[in-house]
Amino acid sequence: MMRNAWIIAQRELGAMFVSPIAYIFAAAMTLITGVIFVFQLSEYVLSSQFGQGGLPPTVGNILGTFTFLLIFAMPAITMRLLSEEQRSGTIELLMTLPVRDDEVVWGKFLAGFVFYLSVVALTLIYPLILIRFGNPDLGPIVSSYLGALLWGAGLLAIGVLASALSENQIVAFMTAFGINLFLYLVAFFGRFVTTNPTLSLVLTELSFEGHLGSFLTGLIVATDVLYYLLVTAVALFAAARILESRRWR
Amino acid sequence: MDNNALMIEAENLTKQYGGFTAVNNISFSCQEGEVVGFLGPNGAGKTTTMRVLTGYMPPTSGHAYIAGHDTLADSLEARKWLGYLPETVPLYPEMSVEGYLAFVGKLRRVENLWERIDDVLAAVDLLDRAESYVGKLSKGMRQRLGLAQALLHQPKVLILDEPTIGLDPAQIREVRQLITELGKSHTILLSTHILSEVEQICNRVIMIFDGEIRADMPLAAAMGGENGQRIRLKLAAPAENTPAVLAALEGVRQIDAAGARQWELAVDGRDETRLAIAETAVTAGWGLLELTPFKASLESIFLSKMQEVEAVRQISLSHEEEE
Repeated sequence: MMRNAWIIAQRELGAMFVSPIAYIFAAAMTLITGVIFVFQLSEYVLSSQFGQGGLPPTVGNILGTFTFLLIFAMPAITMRLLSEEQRSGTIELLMTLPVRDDEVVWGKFLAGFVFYLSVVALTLIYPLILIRFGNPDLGPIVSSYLGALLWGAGLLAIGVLASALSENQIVAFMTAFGINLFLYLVAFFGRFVTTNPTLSLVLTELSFEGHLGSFLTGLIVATDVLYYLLVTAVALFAAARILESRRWR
Repeated sequence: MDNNALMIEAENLTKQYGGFTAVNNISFSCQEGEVVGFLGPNGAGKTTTMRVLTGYMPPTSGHAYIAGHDTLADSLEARKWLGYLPETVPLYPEMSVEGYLAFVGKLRRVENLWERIDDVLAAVDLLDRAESYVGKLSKGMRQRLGLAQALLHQPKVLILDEPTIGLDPAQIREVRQLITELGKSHTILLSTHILSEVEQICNRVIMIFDGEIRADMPLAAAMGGENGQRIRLKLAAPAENTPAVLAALEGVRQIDAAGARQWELAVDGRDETRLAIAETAVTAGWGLLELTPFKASLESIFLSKMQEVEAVRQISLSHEEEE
C-alpha cells in the first residue's frame, strides 16, 4: 500500500519543486513569519532596554501566525494535486495501472506533507535564534511544532479532497479555502449560540482553530491530536471515494 | 474453444452517461494472438468501450474480462495483464522520457526496469530522446511514448485507442510494423479511423455504429475470404426468402444487404458457386440484373454498414414524426 503511494508521492514532489507556486509559497511563508519575528523581537529588545518587562517572542506566536496563513496558502499547494491529473487525462493512466484509488490519494497527501515539512523546517531558524540568544523552554517549542504539523496535515487532506472534486484548479482552490474558512470560523458561531449549550459545544469542538491553542502554549492534549488525525483520515477517505465515484459518471 | 485463450471479453456491455446510451449491449471476445481492429465513426462508442474494457469506467450493465479477470470485481489483477494507450496520451510534461517510464514501471513492478525502458524506447524509436522532457516532445513522439508506456510490462493484452494518430507516414509504417510484430504474441484491440490500417495489420474487424456492433468478422472474410471473392448481386424481383436461399448455397460464406434489392456475397472462388447463384436466381424468377465479382475493400463494407444505420435512423425519425 505505502510503496505505491510513495512512488506516486515522489513523482508529485518532482512536479512540485519545478512549479513556481511551491517557491512562492515557501518564500511568502518565511517572509511573513520572518517579519513578525523581527518585529516582536525588536519590540522586546526595546522594551527591556527601557526597563519595561515585555515578553520575548515565542515559537507559539510565530507558528500561530504561520498556521493562520495556511488557511489561505495551503489550498494553493493542494489545488493541482488531483485536479491536474483529471484535467490532463493522466488520471486515466493512474486508474488503469494496478494501483488502488486510496494509494493515489495517499500518495498525493504524502507529497504535500513532505513539501510542507520542508517549509516548516525553514521556520526552525526562529527557535534556533531564540535558543542561541536566550533560554527558552523547549517543551512549548516541540508541542507547537507538533501542533503545526497536525494542523498542516488536516489542511492538506482537505485540499486533496477539494482537488478530487474538480478538474479545475481554481474551483479546487476555492473549495478548499471555503472548507478551511468554515472550519476556522465555526468556533465563532459556537460562541454566538448561547441558547443551546450542546450545539455551542459541538460547533466549538468542530473548529480547526480551537484545537491548536493548547499545542502553542506547550500542552499536548490527546483529543486535539485525535481531532486533526480524524480530520485528515476522513478527508482522505472521502477523497478516495470521490475519485472512485468519478468513474461512475 | 479453450476458455483460457479468451483474453478480452465483453459480455452484454452497456454504458450510459446520464440519459445517453454510449454503448448498447455489446458482446464480443478476442482470443490470444488476435489483432482486432475496432472501427466506427466518431462518437460511435469506441473510446467508451475501451474505457470500460480497461476498467477505467465501470459498465452500466454487463461484464468485461481481461484474461478472465472481471475488470470491476477483480480490477487490480485485470489491470496487470493489460497495456493501455488511452485516446488522450497520459503524459506528465515536467518529467523526462525515461523518468516517466520509470514511474509507470515502478508502479507496475517491472523487473530489470532500466533494461526494459531501453527496449521499449528502442522499439518506438525514442532512444535518443530518453533524457528529453516530455513537454518538449512533438505530437508524434508523445504518441510513441504513450505506446512505450503500454508495452513496458510486456502485457498479454494491449488496448490501443488510435495508436497512429498524429504520426507522419514513415512513423505510421513503423508503428504498424511494431503492432504486427507484437500481434504474434499479444492480443491487441486497436481503434482507428484509418481503414487501410486495419487491412494491413488486423486479422479481424469489429464495426461499431451508435454504440452497437454492426459487423464482427475475420478480415479475410470481410475481404471475400481466403481464395474467395465478393460478388455484388442485383435482382429485379427478389422474394422474402432470397437471402436465406442464397446463404444456403454451397460456397456462399456470407451475405450482406447492400441497398434495396441488392446484396453483397462473400463466396469461394469456384465458378460453380457463381453459376449456382445465377441459376437459383433465374429459376426462382427473381430477375437477375447483375452478378459482378469485385474486390471488396473495408471501406465499401464500412460505408454500406453506415448507410444501413442511416436508413434505420431515418425510418425511426419519420416514425417519431408521425407519432
